Amino acid sequence: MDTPVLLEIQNASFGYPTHRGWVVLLHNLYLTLYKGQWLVVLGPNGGGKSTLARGLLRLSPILEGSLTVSSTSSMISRYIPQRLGAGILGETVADELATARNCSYTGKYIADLLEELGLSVPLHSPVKKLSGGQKQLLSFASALLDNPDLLIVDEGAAMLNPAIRHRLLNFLEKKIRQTNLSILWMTQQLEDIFYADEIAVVQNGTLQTGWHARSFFYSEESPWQPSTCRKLGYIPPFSIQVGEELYRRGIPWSELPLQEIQSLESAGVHS
Amino acid sequence: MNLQFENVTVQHTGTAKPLFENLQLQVESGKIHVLLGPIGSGKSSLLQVVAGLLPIQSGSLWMNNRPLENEHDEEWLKKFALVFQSPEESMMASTLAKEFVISHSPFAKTPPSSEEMAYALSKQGLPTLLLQQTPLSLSGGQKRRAAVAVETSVPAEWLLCDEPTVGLDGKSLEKLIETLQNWKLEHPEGGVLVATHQIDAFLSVADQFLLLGEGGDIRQCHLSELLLHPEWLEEIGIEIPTVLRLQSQWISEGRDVPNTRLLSAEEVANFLMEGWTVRKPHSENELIENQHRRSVLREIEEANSKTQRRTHIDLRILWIGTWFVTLGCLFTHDWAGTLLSLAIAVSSIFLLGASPVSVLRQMRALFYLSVITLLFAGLSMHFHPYLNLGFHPASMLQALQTSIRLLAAVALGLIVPFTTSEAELQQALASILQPLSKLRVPTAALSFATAYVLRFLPHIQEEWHRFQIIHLARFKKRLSFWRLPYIFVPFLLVLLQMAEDTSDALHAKGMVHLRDITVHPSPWKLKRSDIFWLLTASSLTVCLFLL
Repeated sequence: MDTPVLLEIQNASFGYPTHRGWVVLLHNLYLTLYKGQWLVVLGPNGGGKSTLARGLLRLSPILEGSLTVSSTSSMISRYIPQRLGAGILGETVADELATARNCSYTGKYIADLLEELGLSVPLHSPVKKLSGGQKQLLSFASALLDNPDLLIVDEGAAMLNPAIRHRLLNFLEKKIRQTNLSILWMTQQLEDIFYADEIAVVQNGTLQTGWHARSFFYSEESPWQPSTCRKLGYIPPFSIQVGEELYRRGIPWSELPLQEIQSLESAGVHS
Repeated sequence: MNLQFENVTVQHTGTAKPLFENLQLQVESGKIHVLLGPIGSGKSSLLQVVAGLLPIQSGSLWMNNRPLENEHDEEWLKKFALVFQSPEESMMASTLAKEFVISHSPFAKTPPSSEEMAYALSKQGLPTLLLQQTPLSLSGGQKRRAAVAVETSVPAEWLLCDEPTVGLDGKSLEKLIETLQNWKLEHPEGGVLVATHQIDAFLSVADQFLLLGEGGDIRQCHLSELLLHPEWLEEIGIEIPTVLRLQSQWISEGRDVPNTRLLSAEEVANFLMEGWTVRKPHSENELIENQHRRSVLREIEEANSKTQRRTHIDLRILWIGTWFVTLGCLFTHDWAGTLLSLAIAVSSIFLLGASPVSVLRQMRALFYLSVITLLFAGLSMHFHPYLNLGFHPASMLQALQTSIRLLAAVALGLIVPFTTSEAELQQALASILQPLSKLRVPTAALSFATAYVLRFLPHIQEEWHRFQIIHLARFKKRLSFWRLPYIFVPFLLVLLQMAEDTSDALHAKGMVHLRDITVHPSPWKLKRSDIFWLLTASSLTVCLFLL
């Protein structure tokens, strides 16, 4: 595969410090992150997702193994934490955008960025008057202005209204195509998987990777085998449940619906 | 016992618009009600109002001919068991068993038995040995289930849940639905009220939906009505679940599908295999989003216009100027000076754009103190030869003078904080401290931290307020000094978490060391207008000193 690699971790361990020393939370991690990849990381709260994020951002030291960044210049990474608005520094929207290090962008570029994200508020609006969803979009705008190589997002769309969520996710997809941005998207919502290239799961202190949306939701072996999704204890969205039933009624694996059920039409479902 | 809202108006202090106005609603007992609305629509507030945790501005709330008495109606509070958003954050005791004791204490003198506690835990799939463990050592999922176990074991009538599905995985979700159904069966005189923005999980168990629209109107409906009008969900900003969309499309096409219950995945698959088609959802989401955006924009513009921008004076000049004039006010000595200082204070407030209402609010305590002082100043007591109380207007007038000067000085002192944004403050502080940077003092970091702390304070206040409500919900009594330790530890933990998030975000923005924080103080250039203001201030001060 000649997609350039962004970073690679091999046999890594991450944890957190206590007065008795370091406690290892994640161990034997193997992960290769490519440029322009959207990786969704599933896992319950408190299960190690934030530890992984902090490890990748070098906020937490690697306790074992290696983390190699294969790039000549240093990697720019940005983080959008779970708590809404936690990372916002500026008092007004303009202030916050100005904290982006690389603020050599014209006013028009910034205005277009905000428009595409759906954050059309006047630049001098005070941050504390923004709604939760708008604060989240502002965090994204501020992070993206730095043109990062890696964007780590923790529950990025959980608190967004559906229309805004779709808009944001579509925009991020476009950004990936334009700038080869890599996204590590941590979530509990299975619907976010539809935007991902690859899925990883944090469970029992380890990271399991290697699935695409289709191979995650539908077992490749047989329609009566539980899918990876079910084996991990998740309940798939309704359209996938219908897909499972269609699988059992003879629809081939490669034509099973992923997002909208009407995709079946083109697959020639009619008996 | 049904819950009845009669012309209820709810408004948070300090907001322009009420959350709900003249709300008429009846919530029937023996049912599971789902209050649906997008994030930030006031669902949590409504739930807190129902539970008696949030005061209502007008109207009344009834439960079977018994009205809610405002302000900590313990009888009412005991009718409700409340499961908050992130209930794990409100665990306050040293062991899980003590959590049970806390929640049961308002109901009975004797704490619950270990069998009862073990039973409550087992219903949530938790082992009994957790009872002796500290809640802090449990995993995130376990904590949440433990909190649900504690609250649902309480002998209340109604179970209220605030966004219970956020961050919940599949198995826990099933358990939650089971819990709600059990409560409904075991408490026919009460019921369940869930506030959520994720309707999918509750579609098949809800008896009634309460759709919370913009402006606080609530539409009550059943599943069968939603199947005919799925657009009602879009109107309030909730995404229509796939099954609802499919089923309502087929109903409108006249197909033979049930209209009182939802189709299962198997049934849908069968229909699709028979060749039934599915329409693409139209992007009416765009329309809703635009409407929402416009209303928010209007709100922000209103807020902006209220804060008048003051005539631009350099902050340092303003600061020094108000210092001078304040000193003048305090040192002037007769009526002419006193009245002049009052005039200066009042005109400065209006000229410089401070909000008179907020200034007066801050000075309330001083006002009361002044009034009391005046009364005492006028009194004179003689103990010899017998107790004689006299009243001397002259000394009262003297005290009045002093009071006025003091009030004027305080008002002037409040101008700078009320007309300065944190960014300007940071800049000014950085430039004033700059000489110190030669001594290796991290002045930029200091001024940044000062400005940031100011912005953090309202968040801290919000969290404290949230914990006060949690305390009220669990103890059914107001927070008292003796119970302070209970909420102090979880409160501190939340603050620490906030601090950690913030430092992570700062780190991620490239601010790792103190030297990474750079604030570029503007050089001290005196503009003509600045000199003008400085001279004005100086001359006023001199006048005050002379008078």
